[in-house]
Amino acid sequence: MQAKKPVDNKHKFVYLVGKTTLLMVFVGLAIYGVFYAWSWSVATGKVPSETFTELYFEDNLHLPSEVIPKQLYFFQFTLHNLEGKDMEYPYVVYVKLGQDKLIFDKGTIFVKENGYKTVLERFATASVLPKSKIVVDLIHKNQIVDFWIQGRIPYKGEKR
Amino acid sequence: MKITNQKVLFVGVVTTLLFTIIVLSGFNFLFVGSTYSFIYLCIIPGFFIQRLLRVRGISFFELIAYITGFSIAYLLIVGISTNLLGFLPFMPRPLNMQNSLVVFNIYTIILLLLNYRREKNSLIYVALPKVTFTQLFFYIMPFFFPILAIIGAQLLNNNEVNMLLMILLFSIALYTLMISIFIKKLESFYFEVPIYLIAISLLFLFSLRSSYIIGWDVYTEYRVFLLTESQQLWSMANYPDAYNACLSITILPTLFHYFTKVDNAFVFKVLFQCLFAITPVTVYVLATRFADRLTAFLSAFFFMSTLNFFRELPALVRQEIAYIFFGLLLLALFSKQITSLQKKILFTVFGFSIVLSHYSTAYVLIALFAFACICLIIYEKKAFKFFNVVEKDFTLKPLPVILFIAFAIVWIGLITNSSGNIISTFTNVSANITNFGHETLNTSLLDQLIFPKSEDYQVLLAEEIDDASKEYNHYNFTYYPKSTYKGYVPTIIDKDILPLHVSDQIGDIIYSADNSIVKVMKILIILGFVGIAVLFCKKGFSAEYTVLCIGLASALILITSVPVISLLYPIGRLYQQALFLIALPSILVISYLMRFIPYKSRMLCITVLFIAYSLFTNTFISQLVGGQDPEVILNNSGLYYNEVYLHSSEIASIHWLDADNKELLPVFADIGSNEKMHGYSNNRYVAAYIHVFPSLISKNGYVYSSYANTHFGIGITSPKDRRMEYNFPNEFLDSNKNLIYNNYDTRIYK
Repeated sequence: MQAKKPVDNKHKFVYLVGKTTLLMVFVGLAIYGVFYAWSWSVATGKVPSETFTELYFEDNLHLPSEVIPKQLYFFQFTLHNLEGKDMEYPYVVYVKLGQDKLIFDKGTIFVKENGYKTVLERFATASVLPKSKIVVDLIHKNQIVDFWIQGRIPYKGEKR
Repeated sequence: MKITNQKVLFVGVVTTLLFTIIVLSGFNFLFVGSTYSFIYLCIIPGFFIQRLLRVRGISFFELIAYITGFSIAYLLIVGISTNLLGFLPFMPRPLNMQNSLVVFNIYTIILLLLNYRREKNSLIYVALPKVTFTQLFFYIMPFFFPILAIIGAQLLNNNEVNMLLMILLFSIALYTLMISIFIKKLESFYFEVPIYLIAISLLFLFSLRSSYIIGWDVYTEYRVFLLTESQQLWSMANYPDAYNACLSITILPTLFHYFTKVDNAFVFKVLFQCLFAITPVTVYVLATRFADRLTAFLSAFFFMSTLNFFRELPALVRQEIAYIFFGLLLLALFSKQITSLQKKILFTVFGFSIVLSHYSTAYVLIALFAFACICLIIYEKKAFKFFNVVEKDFTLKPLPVILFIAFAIVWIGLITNSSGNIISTFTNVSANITNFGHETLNTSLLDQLIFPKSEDYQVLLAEEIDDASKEYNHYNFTYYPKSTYKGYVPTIIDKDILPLHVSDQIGDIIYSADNSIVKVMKILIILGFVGIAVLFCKKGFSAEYTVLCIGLASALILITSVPVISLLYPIGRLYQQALFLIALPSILVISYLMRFIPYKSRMLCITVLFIAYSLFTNTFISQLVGGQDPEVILNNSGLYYNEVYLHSSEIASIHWLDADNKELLPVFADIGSNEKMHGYSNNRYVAAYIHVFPSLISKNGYVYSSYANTHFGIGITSPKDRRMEYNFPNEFLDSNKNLIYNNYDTRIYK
């Protein structure tokens, strides 16, 4: 038997390195394919990721609850635009008394993409109201926030 | 072909250098950086550790499995070491990227130097396998599975069809059948490749639903991960809870995130699933020690077919990592190629890694190994007398087992002080013995097979509310008067049943077949345990294997007899753990029972049985037939979708509430929302009041209404640890509370 020449080993090594590299490329491509397929499917999904608008009251622990006639009350609501584009929001603010709506403010708010806008509202009642709701309604978004108020007569000596 | 040590070290140095450059430069064009770093982290450290331990003479894929296990253990050590820098006075946030990389590289240099000195003259022999055309086909086909799973899940997330996922499930079944048919042409075929790819596809089915974290415990796991990452320090003081004691969900994902630049949530959703998919491969390799390759393949297939595997485990990351080590520990234990000393070293390495990864798995293994050790001592003394054999070469001898238990006590009891849940479990167990069936609905195997209990869900719900009201009496809540909710009756509902696509009779036949197959599988498991004992007597299995199986069987009986234990460690997880060892004997038993049929036909029948089982468990059949609750992996509806699927709008409202609730007022949110809040609210509060029923809601509290609560009027409750849907009290909330936040999908009341 003849001993193997070093040159044979060298050729074999080159051959092996080539084959291993090829194998590694295949394995690497397979793993890469997993990442790529995921990123591709995210990027080309027909439906964009969920978009929405946040509507909320500022300082919600101190919203008016008991309302004395002819006294001015304030509250603020905020819009946070997460729709992925600039938006115009028509809105209406009203008192809901049973089935009746008494509108005391309406308008349109423009909010830039990812922007916030806070609106200050004020109201006063002419007489003592029964239990009713103050509602902020984003008309085209079918989205509301509301809080309950209850009218009462002022106590003796209570500031108006 | 031989490769010298110098060449190996050269490759080690070059790859490490490249890794360091990629991490430091942040290069990640088309995910190339992430892919390279992930492969590097999983392979290179483990490869050099394996060389130091001289684990040789084993198959290529078994070696890869060990290497991956060593790499994960290595990363845990790197993480702990980096974190220890926090003891230095000038380093309050030690676990940052730069420190981690420096420590990693120092350790790697030491590792390479040790290799250089110790393995100076060693050679690696490499021979590439010859691949026939048939084999090539069987190799290429499963590569499409993960792609189908990824794109299919993404389409479903975008509210499109589940067609690709249905094709995937069918393809996996067809592929398995074809393997059984063409087994003779696959003589030198490496089944590890398709097993890994099938496993990863099945795991992606669930883990890639939603663009965020999805599941149950995974939200708290994610929370402790974010805590460690944001604090750049792992400390029990961050969050004194057993979850935080698991390095698999704190330090490990932090390092993966630093080094691969993969988004936090996708470390869990993708990278950890890629790691866990090795586990069925270990089941296969283990089974090949005792059976032919087709039987071993079916064992791995059985292991992957359970609901626990593809729906529960992707949402139990800490357990996934612990299972990787458990599989490797078993591989080492029953290896014929590695020496006794090496086995003990591997047992210690993987055992310690389990303790660091997951407390419950460690508890189970403490009991299991202690039991096995005692049995083996007795066996050793009596074996010669009764069985006429002497087996001296056990790994589960007192020293390694005591070392394992001691490390667990030190880590869980002393260092992390997280043994509270095991103590409370023992307390509850003693109470539960006199209070059978009270805590959970889990019943014994006998009950499940012969006397199934039918519970009235409505009664359970009433009991749940009653129990909760007793508990809530301890809190200082002011409740609403009864008159405000007189029109509301808490009712269990099931709105989302899939429309039946066949006649009632055919549907009944199909679902009774489903029930029968599930029962057959349970019987097979029991027979598997019996079969182990028989095969042991015939010297088919070693005493160690047999004793571990008996230990697991006893644990299963115990957990089903004392239901409170299942609150600490759900029975499904123990069942999955038992399958590591018992999947093979179960198949051997059925093969034995069908021994009158020729081998090929017999194996084909067994394959068909397991395929049918898998198609029922992965809900492929119920999706086609209809009439059942939709499964979250295939639908955007159903109980689990409503509970666990996380929407962007939910994250926004959770963050808003977290920021707004400055006075830390009580928050009421159903169990699904509560879990999501664990993961995605910041660290100031945890919503603890999961009973959103008018009689229990505090006037002063917030009520969170999730996507499912708002759109479908469905709340999730969990009487006796069983998930159910009920009518969420939207009308009551609208009539009595202020609606202070609304993003169309979710609402917050005050």
